[in-house]
Amino acid sequence: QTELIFSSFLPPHDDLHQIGVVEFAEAIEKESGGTIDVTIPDTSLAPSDRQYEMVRDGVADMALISSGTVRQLVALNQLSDLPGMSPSSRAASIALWETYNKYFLPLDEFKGVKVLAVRALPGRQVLVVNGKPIESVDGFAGVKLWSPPGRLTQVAGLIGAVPVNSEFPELFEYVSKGTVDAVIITPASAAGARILDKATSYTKVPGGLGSLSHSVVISQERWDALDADQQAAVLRAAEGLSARLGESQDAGEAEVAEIVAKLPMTELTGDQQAKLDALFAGVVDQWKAAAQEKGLADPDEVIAFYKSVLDRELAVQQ
Amino acid sequence: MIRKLNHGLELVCRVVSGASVVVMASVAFLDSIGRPLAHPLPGGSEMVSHALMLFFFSSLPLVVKADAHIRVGLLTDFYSAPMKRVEHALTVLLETLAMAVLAWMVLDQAARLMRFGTESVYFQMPVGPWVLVAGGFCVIAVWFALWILLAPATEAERLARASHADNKVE
Amino acid sequence: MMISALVFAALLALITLTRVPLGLAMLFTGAGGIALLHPRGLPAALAVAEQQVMSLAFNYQFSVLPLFILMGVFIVRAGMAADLFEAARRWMGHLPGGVGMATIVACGGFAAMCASSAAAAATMARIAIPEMKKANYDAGFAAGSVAAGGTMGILIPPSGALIVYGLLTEQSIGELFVAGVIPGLMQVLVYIGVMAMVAWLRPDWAPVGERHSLADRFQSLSAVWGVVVLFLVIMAGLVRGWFTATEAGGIGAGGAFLFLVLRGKLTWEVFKGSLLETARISTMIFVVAAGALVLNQFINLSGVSGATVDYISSLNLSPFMVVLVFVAFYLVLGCLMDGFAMIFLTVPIIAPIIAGLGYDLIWWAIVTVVVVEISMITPPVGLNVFILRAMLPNVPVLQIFRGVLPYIAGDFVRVALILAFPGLALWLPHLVS
Ligand code: NA
Ligand code: NA
Repeated sequence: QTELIFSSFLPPHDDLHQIGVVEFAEAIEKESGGTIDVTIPDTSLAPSDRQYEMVRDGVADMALISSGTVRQLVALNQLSDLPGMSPSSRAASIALWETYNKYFLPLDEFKGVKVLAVRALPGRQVLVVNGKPIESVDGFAGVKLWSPPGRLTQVAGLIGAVPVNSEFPELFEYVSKGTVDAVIITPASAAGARILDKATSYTKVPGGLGSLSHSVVISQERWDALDADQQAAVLRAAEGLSARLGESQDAGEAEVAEIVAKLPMTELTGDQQAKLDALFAGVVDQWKAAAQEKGLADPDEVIAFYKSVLDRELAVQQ
Repeated sequence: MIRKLNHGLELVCRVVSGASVVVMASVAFLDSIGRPLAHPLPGGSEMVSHALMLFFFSSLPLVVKADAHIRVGLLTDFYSAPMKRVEHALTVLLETLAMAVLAWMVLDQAARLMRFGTESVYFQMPVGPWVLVAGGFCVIAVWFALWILLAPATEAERLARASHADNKVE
Repeated sequence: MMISALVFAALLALITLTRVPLGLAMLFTGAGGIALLHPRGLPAALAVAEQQVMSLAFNYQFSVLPLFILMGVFIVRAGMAADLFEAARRWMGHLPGGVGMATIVACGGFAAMCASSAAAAATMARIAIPEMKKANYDAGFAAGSVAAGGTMGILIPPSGALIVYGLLTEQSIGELFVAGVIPGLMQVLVYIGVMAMVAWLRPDWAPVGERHSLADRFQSLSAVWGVVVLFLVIMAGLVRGWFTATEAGGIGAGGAFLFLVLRGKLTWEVFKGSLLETARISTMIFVVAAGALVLNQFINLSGVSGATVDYISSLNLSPFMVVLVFVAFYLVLGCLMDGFAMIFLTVPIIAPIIAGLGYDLIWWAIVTVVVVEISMITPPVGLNVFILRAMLPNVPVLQIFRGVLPYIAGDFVRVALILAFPGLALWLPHLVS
């Protein structure tokens, strides 16, 4: 029997942990006919931003890697994290997974690990909490906008807002004490942070202001040490995992749809959307440049492919 | 000569540690005032956390030198005088070894971070060199520990150190 | 299980038979345990230990500790601890046990500026003991009053113990501080009650002091309003969410520095000395915290917590009985052990169990801190008593322990109240959120 240590930095109730770690681990054990035993420690063996290193160092065999925390290593997979790229978590996760296998895998960006599934969160939207609806791109000027660190902070600055960062647990306090005017988040995450009931209006950006993507990985060394049957078993367990991970996120959003429907909503479409696209062109160019540096010949082709999968899956979901 | 070196090393530690705590306090102060005025200090928490890291590691040699560690030693009060001497020698030896391993660990961590190119979240600067500096301070701490190990304190010095017990915190 | 027993035995041997620093002992037994348990052995253990140490050093939330320690150091050097006592003495001195009551009130006031119990006891000893001596207090009881009063340092915010608890259990430090306010006030009241009772039963232990004119009394307040304002700003800011706990620390240290300047007490020597003292105190705690986090990873990997939970649930005790068992365990352990060591060693194992039973971890934080407070004055190992003993070479340690007894009795009342009425700890934080 082979033991695999699967370390997760997420709390037990998180969907990604439940489906991507607990259920996936059970599926691996079952598919392998008991020749693989997956151990999940009670808490992570490393901080959330050092999961990749943890696997490379052999402290754990399997883990979840958030692309945003290892930007210097993982540039290509951040395609789904760009503005407008995640209209649905399921569609974006499938698009990223197919794009990864077709274009990114040959470039071997994930050194030392094998990617088994990916997930892109639903595109981040804007929930206003100070009672003053944001109905146009210009409406963001000077708004104290809570945003996760990284690219979304950059995006918040590009639309003229004042980005305010904090740890996620402090979000509740920032909102309830009026420290921020609006929050870059999705309604379901807002419900998770207990701030959805504090929202006064909803400003929707098609495809979102950006997203955060994760990868489920196994150490390459450990993978190579598995026999052919075991490898096949892991791959069977991983089949459709990206889609399932995305689906659970969309389902989470659907659960709060009724509450969201009661909020005054503005969707930034048409010329407003064009205005956003123009503001965000630089962000997309940054990704293209990074992708070319990693050896991707034609980033535009890859974006087109990604979007074609998005369209295909969105049509299926309708 | 060595006395002068020790003095210099201690001065470096004091300056870095003092400057870090001043930076921490000022940044935390300014950030909290700036935020309500829509001028948060960009990357404020990252500045604080880097200052904190430098603060701890630059203070570590000072803790070793002042013998200010938290110790338990539940049964050592009941030892006979010769036993106490044995215990003292053993404790100082173990402590020096432990500090040496800790220094090695921090340097190893710096090497890992550099190999990996890990960057900080906000300023996107490499983390490795910072940890390398921390490793340097650990080496100074080992040097001070060795100094205590090899140059047994006079009774007066021991008493002087023991008086720091007043500073012990709960 | 064998390995866990081995690791804990090694740790216990190191900290009882030698005086190896607690933090280093935890760090290396923890790492050794991981090396024994982990299929990848020593390299994995080192990787885990290194990361734990560094991530603590970089932890933004932990910066609250040096900042509040700095605040307390500045306050003492600005002479404000002495002023607090003087004001309390003028208002209460004429009552039976009045100077003692003033000591308790000043301890509470200073606790609101200082994150540590030992520092509170040492500071107040220098100020209050000579005055109680002058007023013919029983020497052991006077020392016991300061030892017990000093324990408030970790209950009334800011509190080093609550900061560490918050880090170990991922609770909001701001919320924990707010939760400490009412139980802290309650401690002041209970201790004043103890003082009144002693003054009534044993007037020779705590006699009546001199009376001050109303003008004198009000005049003394002019020196303490600064402390009150600073505490109110910090607590209001935490409650209203104007700033985080770390920023509150920045404001506290900044405000205390301002007092130092305004009172003309700031010299280059004082400034340097304050920074050095802050560095020493903070870093000795950092070393223990880092070691505890490594040991936590070992406990995490070993499944000891899970096994303990299974064992306890197999006993079929009611949740409240489990709570009582843990409190009793803490009281016994507290007789023998240093308070800080107790928090670091037990919170990672016990807090998840309490949470699993459905209790609020903020409430449990207050219960834990109160039993840790008691541990500092219970024989045979009581840190605050030892500090008083070190500062008063002519008072036998047994006499101080005797002087502390009435307060321990009061402490049992406090524990019972907080266990019976969780609202004492939770009402204020809930009001806030
Ligand atoms: Na305090
Ligand atoms: Na005790």
